[in-house]
Amino acid sequence: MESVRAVRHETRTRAPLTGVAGGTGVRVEQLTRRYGRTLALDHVDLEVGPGITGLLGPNGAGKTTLLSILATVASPDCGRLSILGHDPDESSGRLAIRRSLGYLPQELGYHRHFRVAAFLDYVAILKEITDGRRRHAEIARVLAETGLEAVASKPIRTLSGGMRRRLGLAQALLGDPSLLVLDEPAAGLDPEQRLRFREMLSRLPTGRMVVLSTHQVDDVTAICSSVVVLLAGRARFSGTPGELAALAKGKVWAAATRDASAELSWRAGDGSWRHIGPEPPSGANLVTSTVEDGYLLLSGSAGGSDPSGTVGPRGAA
Amino acid sequence: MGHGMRAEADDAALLRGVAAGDEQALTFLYDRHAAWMLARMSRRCSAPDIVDQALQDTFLAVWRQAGRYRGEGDVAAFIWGIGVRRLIDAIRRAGPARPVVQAGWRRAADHGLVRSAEEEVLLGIEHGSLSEALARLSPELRAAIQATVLDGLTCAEAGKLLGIPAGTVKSRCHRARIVLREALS
Amino acid sequence: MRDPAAMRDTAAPGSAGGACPVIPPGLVTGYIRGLLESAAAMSVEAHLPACPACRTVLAGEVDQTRLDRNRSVLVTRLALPDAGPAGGGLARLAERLAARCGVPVHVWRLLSVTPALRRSWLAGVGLVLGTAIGAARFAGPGTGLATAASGGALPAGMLPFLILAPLLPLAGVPVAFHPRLDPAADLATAAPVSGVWLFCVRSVAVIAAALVPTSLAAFALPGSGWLPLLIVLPALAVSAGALALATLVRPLPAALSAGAGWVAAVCGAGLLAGSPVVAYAGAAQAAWFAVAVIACCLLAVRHRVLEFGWSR
Repeated sequence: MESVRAVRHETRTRAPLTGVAGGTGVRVEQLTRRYGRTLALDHVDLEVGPGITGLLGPNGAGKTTLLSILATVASPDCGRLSILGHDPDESSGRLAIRRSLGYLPQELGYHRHFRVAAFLDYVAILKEITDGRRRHAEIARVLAETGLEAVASKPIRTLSGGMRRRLGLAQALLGDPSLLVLDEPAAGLDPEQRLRFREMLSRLPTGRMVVLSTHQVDDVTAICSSVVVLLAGRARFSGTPGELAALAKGKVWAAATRDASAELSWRAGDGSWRHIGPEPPSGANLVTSTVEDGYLLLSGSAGGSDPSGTVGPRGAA
Repeated sequence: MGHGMRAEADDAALLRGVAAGDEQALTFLYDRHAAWMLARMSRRCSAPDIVDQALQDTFLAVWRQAGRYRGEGDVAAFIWGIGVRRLIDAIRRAGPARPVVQAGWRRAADHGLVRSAEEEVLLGIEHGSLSEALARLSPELRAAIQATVLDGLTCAEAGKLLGIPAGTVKSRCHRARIVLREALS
Repeated sequence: MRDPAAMRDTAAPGSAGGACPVIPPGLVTGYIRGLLESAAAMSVEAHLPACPACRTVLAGEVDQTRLDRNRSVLVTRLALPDAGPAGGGLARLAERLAARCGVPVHVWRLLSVTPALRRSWLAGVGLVLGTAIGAARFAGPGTGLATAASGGALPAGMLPFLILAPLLPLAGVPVAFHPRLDPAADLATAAPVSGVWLFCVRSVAVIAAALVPTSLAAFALPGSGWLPLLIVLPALAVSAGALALATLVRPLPAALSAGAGWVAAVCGAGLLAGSPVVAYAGAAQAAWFAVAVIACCLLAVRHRVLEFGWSR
């Protein structure tokens, strides 16, 4: 089982943070955060560049904690952080980061009475856009970008779930931030809404950094240019989706029936059985590994395989 | 709001819809009238951002004041009456530091423009001697007449629009009237 | 998006789609480009608003992008609370009033989200005050406050008001700052707006919004004397104490503790000094002032908590 152990070994990121360097990326070094006795983040090393970065992991892996630290809403217990070239530990650094930040928390609440435009107005004021004219223009711009012009005067509670997520994205886009932190932006949406949301994300003007978390692999495959796999508070992989798929290269095979020697097996869409394991049995027909296979290999080696064989990442709800 | 207002409805019906709270009726009014409002405002104020602001303020004011339209005069005049005053407010809010230059009415003689055949026909049929008389006025006098007569502003409002004291407006109108009377008699 | 059907106006002449009978298209173009002589330009200008055919010509010449941009901003502004009838005339009136008093629009908008300032909350305060005053008036004559302080009998009906008065501004504090009642709290934390500034503005607004009616209601009490003014310091002390405690524990327990402290002080005054009114007396005022100052110092020391939000 040496190859499994090799995969278990953390895939190192690029050169670690040497200090609070100038620059426009996000660099994280040895980030640790505890909640009571639970270790939410365990010495995480990470680097984020321009484009869309997906943070992939099951529930409870620490994604929300990591994102809330990146959004300066929480502070780490130890570790060093450089966001957009600033140190969030200093209040001047925090202020500078917050000026270029757009944050969509996992549970975005709205005051009950708010209408869409009034809510955006409120958030715009929080973002220190005090000039009324500039505020109006900004709100009109994000409404157009997220396709919400038609519901601008409707109360938020009358909107569907998909539209509320779009509203969440719209408020994050106010002020044209250089860093967007989105916590499970597509969770709970039905497939069609999810598709439209992904489309909207990929249509955003490039040049800014987007970090989003998800527990669905196809979100990553569809729009992310780089992916970080977070399992039990540790960053187990960082690279492009292609590299994640390559992790499982040569370890995925299909057969007509279940194969007992596989670590994981499930029924694929075409009726055959797909298997992932360290050693394909002789005569097995190897298939091209996908991003999902790479992820399953990683998460399977983290905490034991899931014998129920459901398609998709392990979602310990 | 399902008020079922159709885009082709006439102005008065749209305005009634607006008074009843139909947002779509207001957008139809905008689609119909914003273009000439923009052109007309731009001839009185050369700063595009002020004109943009005034245009939005106008239709917002129409939204609030639609109930005041009693059916007298046409809707376009009602909207322009609101619009020109919003323009004055926007100019005032921009502050004295913003030089608001009036895009003056041109005189053919100054710019070497030749009257087109269509203009000849129009002026010949409609206005004949009036256009000759108007041509005799200097730009300032003409602007004063335009503000008070064409736009229906009071001397005080005209003063704010042109950036001159109300008394100056009054005296200019007076002089203009003298010149016109002479020219037309 | 723009509806081209709106350009056709069923009632106006020339709407059949034909050319304008009065003004040829060349003149409209000339007008837009500023090429016309004054009389012709004025003529076209006066004619244009009422003629669909000429408006159609105009539509081909104007900057459509500019019109569309203004249209979308207009739609946005219509949806905002200050638009007018659809949004609620009361909200707009309140905003204009605030602007007259020197409160900038954006500060007012931030404050009007605070639950403690919502109409319902203020109505509740009014109700409680009304009850207290009613009790005071109808509970029998008795002597006024001044004599009660110097040992006279306190009319029983006054007691509820004396106990309640500083608690009303206090009650606004947890309502305004409780994380669950401010659903967008995380957004406020992640935003550049200074957490400390937001906190101060909200606190002042919440406390004042309850303190002013309470103080005014005190005038309705029989023989109130200086009570309206005497309420101010105890109320400020209790509220500031709650806010300071809230940086250590959650807002609700903090407010409850501060409230309990006040009730204890009043009861203590009643038991030890004979009359609860002593809690408002001169010496007590000095003590309340000291408490308020200490609370403010504690807040200044703990300002980092304000930046990161209560829940962390």
